[in-house]
Amino acid sequence: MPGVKIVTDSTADIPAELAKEYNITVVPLKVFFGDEVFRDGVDLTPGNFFQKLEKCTTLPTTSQPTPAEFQEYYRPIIEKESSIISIHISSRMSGTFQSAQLAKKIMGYQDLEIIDSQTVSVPLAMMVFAAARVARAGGTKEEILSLIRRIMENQQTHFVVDTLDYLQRGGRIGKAQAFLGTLLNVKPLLCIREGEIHPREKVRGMNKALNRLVQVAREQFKDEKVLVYLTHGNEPEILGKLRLKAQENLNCVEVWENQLGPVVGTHVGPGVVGFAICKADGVIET
Amino acid sequence: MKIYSFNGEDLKMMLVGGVNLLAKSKAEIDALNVFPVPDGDTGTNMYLTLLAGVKEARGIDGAGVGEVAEAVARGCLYGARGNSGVILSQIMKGFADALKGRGSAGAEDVARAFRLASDAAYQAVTDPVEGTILTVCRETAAAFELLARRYSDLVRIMVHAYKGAKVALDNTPEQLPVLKKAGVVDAGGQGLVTILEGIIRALKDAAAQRDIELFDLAASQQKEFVEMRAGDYFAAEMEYTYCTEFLIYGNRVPTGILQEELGPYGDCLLVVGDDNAVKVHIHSNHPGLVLECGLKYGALQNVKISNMEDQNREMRSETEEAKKKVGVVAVALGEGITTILQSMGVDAVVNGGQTMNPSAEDIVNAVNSIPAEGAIILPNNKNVIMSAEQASKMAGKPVKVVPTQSIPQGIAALLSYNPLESLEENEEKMKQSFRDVLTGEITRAVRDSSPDGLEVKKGQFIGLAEGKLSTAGAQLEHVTGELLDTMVEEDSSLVSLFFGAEVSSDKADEIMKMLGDKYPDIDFEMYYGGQPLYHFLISVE
Repeated sequence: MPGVKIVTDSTADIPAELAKEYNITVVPLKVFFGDEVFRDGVDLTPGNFFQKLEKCTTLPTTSQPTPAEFQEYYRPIIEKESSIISIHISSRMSGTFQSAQLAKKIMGYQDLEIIDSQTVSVPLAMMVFAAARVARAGGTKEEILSLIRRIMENQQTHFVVDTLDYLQRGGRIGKAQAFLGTLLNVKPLLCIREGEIHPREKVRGMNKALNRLVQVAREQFKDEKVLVYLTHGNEPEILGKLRLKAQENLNCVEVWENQLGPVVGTHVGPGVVGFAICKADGVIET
Repeated sequence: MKIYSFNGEDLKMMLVGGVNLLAKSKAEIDALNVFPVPDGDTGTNMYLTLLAGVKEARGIDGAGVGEVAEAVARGCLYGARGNSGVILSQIMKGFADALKGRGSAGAEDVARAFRLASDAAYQAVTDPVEGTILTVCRETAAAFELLARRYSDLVRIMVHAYKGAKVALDNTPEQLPVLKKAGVVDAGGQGLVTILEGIIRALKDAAAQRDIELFDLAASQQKEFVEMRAGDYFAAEMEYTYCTEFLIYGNRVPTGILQEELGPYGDCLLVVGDDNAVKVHIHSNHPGLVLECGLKYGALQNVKISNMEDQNREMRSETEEAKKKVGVVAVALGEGITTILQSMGVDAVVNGGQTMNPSAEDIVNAVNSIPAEGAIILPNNKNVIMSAEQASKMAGKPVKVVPTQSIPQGIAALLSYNPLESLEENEEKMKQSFRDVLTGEITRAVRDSSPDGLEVKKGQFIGLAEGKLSTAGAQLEHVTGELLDTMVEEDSSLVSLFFGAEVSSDKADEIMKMLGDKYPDIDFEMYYGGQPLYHFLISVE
């Protein structure tokens, strides 16, 4: 039986070995350091990227995969006549979804669902892993699609950035909504809503920011069983603190963490820490 | 020279013109980019995409127009970067489909090609949005279809279609609010218009090289180009200063001769009308000579000479004076505190505090001076709240007072300030957040006293928590430490200290280190406040 194949893009920040283990196809976006091109997560790992980011004089830029590149990734799957569910970075953040759509149109393959996840990074990874698990267990396309919808409806993403410079420069946050207060070590708390990054509030100091992140999630999910997927740019220690606070204050049944990849890293910078959280009920066996 | 058809080599030449102009304009186009993702790369992406298409086409020689178009489309598809690049690649795809198998193409072929290009562009997008490159592409196609029925000269059609494209582009802010808000036209649409303009330039250059007259039509249509340039977008390119317009009433005014005679005086020349009345429009540096020339053929009327550089400047200054909805006026003392408040968005700081209360008039003047429709006042002291309330009634704009009693409260209120939200929303949020902090103050006692059994001698350091005397002593560091002991609660996570004019930064560092050692779980931050009388202003949150 051909089954369902899960495809995503590199902005889900799923490490290659896990993608392999879960049989997930990852289409890479691209990062440009001047004239040098790197395929996100393929030619450039998070570790190397943040080292390069520290040293570079002009900041990198990024680009979505072309429709032609999507076709190359879809083609071998189509040859096996598998169903494809292709889950991607929010169409409000990148044209990746658009490229995938176009590839589908060009190839004329009907059994290919392209999902606009309305999010990016760990919350996207959460959808992709959940989908891949069901696919691996022989679930149908409909089951997987309804699971993804369920996660989209119940999931929240909260994070804090050290500086808004990266988001502003990449245009991934309304310039007008920029938070002021650079002299006072103000940490902007942000969330992802309707496919975009929204400023939520400002707090002073990283400790307070971490407490507030967990508090916001706590207000929402109380004692419900939750999945918490954490991520960071290049701040492993702060991530550790956030993980402890989350585990103390939330009823976590699954905790996973990773490091942001080059493309997402380009747009938020190294000083980001945050998590995606979702009700576990109906998403994983608890 | 008129062009009725073109072959593959011609198409390459035209697209090279498009690529070249995109290369020159890409930074400006990048700057326009606010939709769908304001990442400022539309111009660059379109340039790189078209460049990939042209490179692919260069690989084949002597091919027909169909084959060249196909190569361009293929190159664009593989080299597509960004949303706009992908859409551009589909436009090229539509073009290639329409010209498939053709050796050369004429006006009707081009019209059909633009139609298919526009259809392909719309199909490429899941939710087509008007006011974007799609709209501009569709309107260009519509213009081509209309013109192809009337004319067969491609240059003429091209110039007219460019006009149509430009009108569609200028209209994009009306269709897409995000553009209007940002005061820009759509970046992708601008990219497409730039490509068309580049093609026209290439055609003009080609014609010029063959030393052929023509293009007075193109020149007369340049009016639109130049009006576009009047915006600061192209300001640097303005060559002629005076826009000169007049009517000539006469008997059989020879428009053709007049056109030839006026040509050397400038650009954007228009000579239109009938035998009896002719309208002349030209951009020139010698309006006097232009008028003399017209005088030979009749009486002049409605003479209008305007300095375009002035207009340009005015236009720019108008756009710069955008007001924000809500500004903030704060009362404070100390240069460090002032700078910090300004960095958080305060528009005007009125000097004042515990011992120097500003007048209501001082506050009103500040409120009226700031470039905002409404204002929030942060009194930052108990004794200033009354004057602030009074000022709010006297000011010439809507004002709300958020009754902060200390600088730490003022700073806490400012964390919730958003200049784009309404006055009422700001008032509500700031009123909620300013109570999130505890305020501590360290100063010297001005007289002996013993409140609540605490012995205080004149000149001693005293610590106040929320305005209430709580510690006293001879050593600054001890009093500061003791004051914090009374203020820090279990969930406190951040203490900020603003050191005053009488404290050295070495002393401040020393005290911060001492406090950091004592409370390892709390973030301590030390800032220069520069305020008089108070050695430290402290915020605990």
